Amino acid sequence: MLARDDRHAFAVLVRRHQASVRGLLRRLTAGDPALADDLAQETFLRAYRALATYRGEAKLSSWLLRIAHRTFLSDARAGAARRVEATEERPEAADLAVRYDLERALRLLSTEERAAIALTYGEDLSHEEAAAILDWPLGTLKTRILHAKEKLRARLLESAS
Amino acid sequence: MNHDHNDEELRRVLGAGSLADEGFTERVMAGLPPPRRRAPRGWVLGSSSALALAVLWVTPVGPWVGSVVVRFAVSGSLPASAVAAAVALMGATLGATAYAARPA
Repeated sequence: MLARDDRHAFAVLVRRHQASVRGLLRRLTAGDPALADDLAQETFLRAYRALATYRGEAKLSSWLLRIAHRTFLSDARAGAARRVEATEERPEAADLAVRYDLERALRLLSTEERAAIALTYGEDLSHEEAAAILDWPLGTLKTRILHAKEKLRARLLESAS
Repeated sequence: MNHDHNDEELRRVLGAGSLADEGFTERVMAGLPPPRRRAPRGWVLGSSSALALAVLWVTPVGPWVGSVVVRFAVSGSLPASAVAAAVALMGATLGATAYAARPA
């Protein structure tokens, strides 16, 4: 159990969950690591402030991912999404061509589709867990995953031809 | 490519590797607000005040209000109504202090 001002325990929590939170945000920001890390830092700051409200109803990891998603959405609403689209494409090594193509393809997805794909494929969460984190009905999540995969497939086939 | 293959490819590429910390935790901890200094608990202050008031009222010797009232009452120079009023005042002050010291 975390005491409210137990900074040591909170550091352990950050160390344990930073990879999944930062990973999700990198996918949501379509591969902008600097922005993703800024948002991850904001996510943990919000989590620290909200620790007293965590009741243990959801897994701690799910609770953090939900905060991360909300942090991303509020930043995107503030106009940062346009920054992501304007980001210059970084040169990638040849052996990362698939990842590069996929990251480019991910930028074509809507924010919602990217979140659905990032949680179910990036974090390997079940549809039920992802729907709970995103606060969507299960059917909505499945539809968005389906649309996202269709878009990705079309984009990747296009780049392969 | 079938669906399973696509799914596996997505998982492989999107879920690849765990991000190294690389000082991230330290940056987060440095950005946290400083720990708040705990204010003295209200009930400690209130209880101390109530106890001090009680001692001042009921101590039978010395210059305290209670002892003066008791001395006058015993010598018969203070009417019963005045003693009753003093006791009521003592009760009121102790009650008010206890109310102020109740837990939030």
